Amino acid sequence: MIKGFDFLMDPLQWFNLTKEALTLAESELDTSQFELMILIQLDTDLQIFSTSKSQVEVESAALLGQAWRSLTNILTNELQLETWNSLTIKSHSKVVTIYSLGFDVLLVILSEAAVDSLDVLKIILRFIFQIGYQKKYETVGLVSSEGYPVWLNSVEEMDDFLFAISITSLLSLVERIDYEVSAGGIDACILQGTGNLLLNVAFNPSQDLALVVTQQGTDLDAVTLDPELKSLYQKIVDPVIYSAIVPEIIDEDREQMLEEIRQAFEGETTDEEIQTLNIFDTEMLKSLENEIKTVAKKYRANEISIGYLRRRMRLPAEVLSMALEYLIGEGTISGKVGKARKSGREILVLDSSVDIDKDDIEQIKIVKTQIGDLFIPINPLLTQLPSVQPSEVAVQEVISEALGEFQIMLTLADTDPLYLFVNDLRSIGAQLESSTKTLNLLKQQLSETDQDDVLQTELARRRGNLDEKIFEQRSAITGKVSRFYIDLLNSYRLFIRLLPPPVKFNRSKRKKKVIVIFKCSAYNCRTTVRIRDNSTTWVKLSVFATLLGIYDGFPEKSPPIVIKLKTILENRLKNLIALIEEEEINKDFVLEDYLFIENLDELLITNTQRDNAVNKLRKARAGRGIDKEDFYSLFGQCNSCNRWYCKKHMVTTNKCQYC
Amino acid sequence: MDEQIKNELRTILEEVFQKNSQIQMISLITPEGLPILTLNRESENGLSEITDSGILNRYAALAGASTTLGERTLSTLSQEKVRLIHVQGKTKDIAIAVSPHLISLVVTEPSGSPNLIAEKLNTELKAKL
Repeated sequence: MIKGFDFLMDPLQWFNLTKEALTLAESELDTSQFELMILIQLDTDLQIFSTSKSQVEVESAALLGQAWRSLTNILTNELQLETWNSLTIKSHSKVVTIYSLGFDVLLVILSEAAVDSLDVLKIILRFIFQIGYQKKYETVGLVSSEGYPVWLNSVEEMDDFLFAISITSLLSLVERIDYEVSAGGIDACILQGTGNLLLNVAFNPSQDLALVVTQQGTDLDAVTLDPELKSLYQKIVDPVIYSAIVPEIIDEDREQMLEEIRQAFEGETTDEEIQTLNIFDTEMLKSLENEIKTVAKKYRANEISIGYLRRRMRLPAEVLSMALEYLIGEGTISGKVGKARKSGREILVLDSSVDIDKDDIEQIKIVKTQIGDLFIPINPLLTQLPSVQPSEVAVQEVISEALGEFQIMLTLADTDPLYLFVNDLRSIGAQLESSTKTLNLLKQQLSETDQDDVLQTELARRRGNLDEKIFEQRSAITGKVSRFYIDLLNSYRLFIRLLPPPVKFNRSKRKKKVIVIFKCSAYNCRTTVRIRDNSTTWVKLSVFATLLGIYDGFPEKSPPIVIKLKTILENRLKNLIALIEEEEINKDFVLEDYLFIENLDELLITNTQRDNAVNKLRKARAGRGIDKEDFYSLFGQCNSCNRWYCKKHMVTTNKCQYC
Repeated sequence: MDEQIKNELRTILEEVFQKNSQIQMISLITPEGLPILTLNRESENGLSEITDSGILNRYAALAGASTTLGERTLSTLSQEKVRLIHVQGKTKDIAIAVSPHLISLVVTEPSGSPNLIAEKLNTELKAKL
């Protein structure tokens, strides 16, 4: 086996490398589907390599090379094709695909018509990295844009699913940067850690795959990709060939490792945390079970898309996958989670389906209508998504993409982690309280025992220790509170992308409710939408929109219930900022200054409140019922000033006429 | 922020813009996520300061999200924090350099080396902040 090529490769080295990779790939492929796999290098010295199964004469290969050359010339000269990557010829039952792998190396594959030869290319790419670049990169992985690992080569033992999940965070980031800065699509993203870690993610043209390489060092060249590798990788455009049915036999080692990594994995939810989240409860599990059983019964489906379940249940991927694991583990549902062989979508495969009768068929019609309702309203989603171009993409695609992105917005505005944060703070607060009480007791004892030297010394020593402990607890609180404040502001920045801050609150006849009024931000415009709702979410939104400077001020002349809540929120914020701005931790302190952390969660909007608010706006109608449009169809948000305007005052779906 | 310090920062940034014609925008943000100063190159080669809080907040949010999401990625591979994120776009290159006292967001033309500029800025401005 060839080990560690020099990185400036010559054509022969490249041919040998692809040859080795193809040989190894052959062992992973179902060779009954492939009649022929050969490599040809159209150099002056013609090189040919055919796999164990294929028998090719030199003359035929040379002829094929000649044909390819002529075809290339015709296409580049006559049709002005700039580059030329692959050629496919299909008959009813067979297909020949020729890929150009760089350095004049051609890969010719003759297979059954139904087989996708991109699979071969993906596996070859993996072995090329494994054989030729094992010295150059510490880790190389191929991840689909949906966050599934296609393959991973790593010198360290690493779980490929966790690796893929971590890269997905980066993919979200890149998408966001592209959108915010209008970078016109992204080719690569390089990440450098404070230590020595370098990471490079390259995207293929259709942005459905991410190739990740990492290496230690400070020189960015350590993670650059050779042009041949890049060109080979960029030919693989289909993300959905990979097929990975989860094994039925539980791999205990893997489970244990996964568990350990999960626990050590900062920022991701652990099992324990998941259980503390409100969403992972019996009610949710029951409704998930019902949903699965209903779909299975009504559609006689034994495969259900995980994406569908995620949207239907409004659950983050991690939670849904754990809930499914649990239901399957408990035997409530009989089946397994895997990937569709052709499309690569993650699916739940159920063991048996139920026969349907006439009633069921009637029911199917009803459910179909309900499912249709799921896709309403589309307009509001489109207004939020400038990247979606309805004229260029098929409507169905727009809808699913829009729903997907709206879901992403909802996920990003997830406040559950912030609640966990507040819990942490509470527990340090409780420790501080108990330390302070002990300190006060010690102080008292010290003042009472001024004659006994030994006891006095011991008490003084304990006091010293306690002072140190209190200092540490207070520093921890200050640090965490600062972090909390940043996350809090960020979460509201996201909320303001989903929910408009109201311009006015009016009294409602119903106790505990107010009339919340939204108006187009154009000065003279009278387009208004009113809803009757609990004031909590909307008051919070107004307070933070004012704090972030997005809105000029809190609505004047609000009812007492609103003013009361506003005052409470502002006081909490005042205490919080005072603590952050405290120049240094002084020795004397008042425990009362820290008591507010007990109630910090009052500053947050829960996920349920967020969803209720979105639903209210979806149901809200302008005027007196004549206009059938809801809030999101009537209003759009300007991406420059973040204000909401009615359609008349928007130039495009995401720009107001004033920006 | 002190107006005098802000003026000094502006002078430094203007010089950086002048020396590097490929720069399109620089935004300085505190590690807490508050905007400090954002300069943008106008088409006729003049510079303008962005003062619209809506836009400034978006960049600040972008810096915040970048650090968090970047750290999630690094935490599986090592225990490092994010120092630099360099995104190579088709029409623009973007770099975000993170240091304990400052986050710089630099946008340039493609292959405009925003990573080098952003890191240099963070080092140079350390004394000023």
